[in-house]
Amino acid sequence: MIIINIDNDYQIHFFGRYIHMKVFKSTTLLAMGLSAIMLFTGCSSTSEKPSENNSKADETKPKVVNLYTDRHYDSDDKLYSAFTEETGIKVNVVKGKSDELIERLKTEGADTEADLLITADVGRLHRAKVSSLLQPVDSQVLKTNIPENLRDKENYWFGLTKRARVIVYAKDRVKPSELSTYEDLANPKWKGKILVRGADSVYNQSLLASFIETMGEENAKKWASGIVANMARAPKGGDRDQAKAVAAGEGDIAIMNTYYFGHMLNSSDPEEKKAAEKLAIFFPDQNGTGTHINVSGAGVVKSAKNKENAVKLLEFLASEKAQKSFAEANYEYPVLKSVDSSDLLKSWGSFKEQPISLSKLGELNEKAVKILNEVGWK
Amino acid sequence: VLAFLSIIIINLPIIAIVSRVNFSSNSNWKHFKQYLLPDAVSNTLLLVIITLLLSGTIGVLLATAVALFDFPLKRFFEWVLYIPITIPPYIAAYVYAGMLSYTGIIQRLCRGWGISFPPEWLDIMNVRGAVFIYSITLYPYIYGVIKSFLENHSGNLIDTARVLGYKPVKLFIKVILPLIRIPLIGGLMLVMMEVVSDYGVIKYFNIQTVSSTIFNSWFGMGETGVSIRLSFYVMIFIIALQVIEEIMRGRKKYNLGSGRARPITAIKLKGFKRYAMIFFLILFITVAFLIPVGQMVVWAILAFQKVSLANLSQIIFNTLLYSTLATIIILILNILIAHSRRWMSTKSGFIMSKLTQLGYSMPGAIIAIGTITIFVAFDGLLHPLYRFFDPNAKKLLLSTSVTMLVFAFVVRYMAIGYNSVNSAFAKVGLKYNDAARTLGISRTKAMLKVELPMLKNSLIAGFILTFIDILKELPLTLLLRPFNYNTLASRVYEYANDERIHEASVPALIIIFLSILAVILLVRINSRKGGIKKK
Repeated sequence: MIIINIDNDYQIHFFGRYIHMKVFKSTTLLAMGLSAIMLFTGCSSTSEKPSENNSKADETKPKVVNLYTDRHYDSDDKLYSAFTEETGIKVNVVKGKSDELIERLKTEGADTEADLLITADVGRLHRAKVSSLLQPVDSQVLKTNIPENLRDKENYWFGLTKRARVIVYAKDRVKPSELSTYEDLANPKWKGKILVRGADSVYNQSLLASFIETMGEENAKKWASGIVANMARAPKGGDRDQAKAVAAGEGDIAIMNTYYFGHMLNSSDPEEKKAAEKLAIFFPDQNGTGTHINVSGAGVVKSAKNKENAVKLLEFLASEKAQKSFAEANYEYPVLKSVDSSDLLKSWGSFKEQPISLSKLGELNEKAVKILNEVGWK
Repeated sequence: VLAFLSIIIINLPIIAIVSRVNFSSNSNWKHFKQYLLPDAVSNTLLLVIITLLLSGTIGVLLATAVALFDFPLKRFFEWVLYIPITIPPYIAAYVYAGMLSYTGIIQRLCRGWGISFPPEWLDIMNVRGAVFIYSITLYPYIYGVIKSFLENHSGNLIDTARVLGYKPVKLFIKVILPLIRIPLIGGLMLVMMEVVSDYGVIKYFNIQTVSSTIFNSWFGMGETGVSIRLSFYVMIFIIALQVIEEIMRGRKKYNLGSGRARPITAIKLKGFKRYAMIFFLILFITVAFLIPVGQMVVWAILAFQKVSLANLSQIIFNTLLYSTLATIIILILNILIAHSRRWMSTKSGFIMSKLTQLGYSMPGAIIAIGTITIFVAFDGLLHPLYRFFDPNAKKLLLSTSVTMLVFAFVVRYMAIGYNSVNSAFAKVGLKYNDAARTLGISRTKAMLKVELPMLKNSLIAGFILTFIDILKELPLTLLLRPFNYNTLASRVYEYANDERIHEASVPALIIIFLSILAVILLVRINSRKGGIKKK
């Protein structure tokens, strides 16, 4: 920087008049720029002004709740407008990736406008909690509607929908009787048969975290390296791509989330449907610890300016109506017991779930990521 | 002065990031070094080098072919060849992977005809595939710059060489290649930075690169140390490359040989050559544009009913308004910087111009975090002022408005506009300005009245490139947008992130369509004005 300034002075000497002109010009330009900025913020603050309205908590002003969410389903938007209709509370949304939203929350600190954080994985909720971005919520509705293992022990976050990470196999090449547990997939008999996505997938990280919890770090690591040895190809693509590769015969078994399979069976592309129909779903570990589940869930932001409204929205999302919509639109399992899964999910049958507390998955995430790197899971 | 000021301002987010670099060797860094670094670095280098070779070759050949020769439909091809730039690389990745997958059209047809082969043959989700995707979507950066450069600034030299009896091949090697070195390297730099900081394609293909490591360790492991340090190294690496380039170029300054920049005289191709050229161009366009877009149209039709089109006009309006705004700001700043650079000592001018490009060498998400940091601090400072106007004013006024997003666009995409603007200014040199000055006009006025009209074509190319890039921009928008603010790109992301590529095709097609409109519009303006000038 110093060099630049010296040079600059030199320039001023040389082109005194020219620079003079430019300084004059620059001040006008700067003024123009500033006024443009003012205009901007002026516009946006008159059209949106979410927080101003409620810091006053004035009854005559519209009520709002501000949401950071990692869920991008159109059906969610419909739920928010249903909530607005019911309560008169407007829902403002920023959709993004959970990790980045958490980073944004950290940076904004106590001044953040966000009231509620929704993520698609429990590990992220836990991270938000330990970064002290969330606050506990004491709500009877949430306690009765959401089973204990699907919410934080100290009520910092609440699971809203469940998904299971299951085995999907080729009907013509694998008999369900050959399948048993996740652990069995590390057995050399499946060499070159297994398809699973990369280590950067948070679903794989949480799956491995659950094994660290149930079978200890050493065994979990062995399992992971067993899977790497059995992979049909270097991991790539998303969950759907694993299923397609099984249909194509690149391997026999895919590890994937239930709702992706649901989406494939209901795809707008008939060919994808046909591919999915060659496959079937298997819930592993039914005689042992149970199938791995994860949740998408939400927590109220620590410095929420509209805490009451945020809790209301949270309770609404745990209500029967919202839970039904989750189950129907995105093939997720509702957390509310009284709500039925969609017909498709029912046809897969009920299953025994891993009984571990989901908070653990968050705590063990970093360890899981390191193990994945160490065993060479790309 | 203003140029310096603006450069400092746009580098604030980067300073915010760099100030967090921590060189202590903690356990995370060791873990990273042991398990991830070798793969990341070798994959990144491989991707960058091959992509540069391929896209450079494609870009230069196409630009030269179009500039040097005349053949039927030339006008049409001239702008159609820009068009693949409108396809965001990650979309092209999804589309090609989808088409070549088991359920894709190609395997389906082969199954229908009873042809079978190992699925690995069609596997595009690897380094080779990524290079292919980058090359077909990024070559227009090079094509655009080279073409406008050749057409505007090389007519005399090429005509002279032709008079001396140079055959096209010799002409290409002896005259054109040395001539286009400055814009070519600028274009290659853009492509390189685009590849280095891209995250969409490599994430889907699951290729371990430096950029994916930055993302995974920051956003996946919540570990800022490794990723900040890594992006710092990337930045140093890119700066180092630019310094080397500058040294190699030496102090050569080209000024135009004669008074008037004569447009190139295109030679009419005849007979076989003519058809070969057309055939080749059509083939190329098919691969780079028609196939992926055709596939997207089919998918969009399939999925149309499942796509929510609520607020579509609002979304399009948002997208257009803020892209245009940011582009205009970028262009003005760039003109200012390139203009004043010419009077600076080589060294300070060089430092200044490199500083404008830093933002482009970092992954968007990192810039975004830096920008938030700056704006939150800025809001803290200005809060008393807000209170002065409105006692109830909230604290985070700027950082919850679109200002922050537009600012980040400017920080990140300065480099794109800068390349075309600067190579144009460098080419023109000082003499027009000097001449105008002897006639008693100020330098700034001379720049506005004399030089800008001369450089119009390069500026327009810069405008198109920047505008389209911002139109398809994703990480910044996702992270910095205010509440309820959607753009087309963010809609694409929301679907694609759920692996619903069919649904994602609808907004993606709208992006492509708008970008094409922009290209057509600007090509029109361009050619009309050109026509007037000839008279």
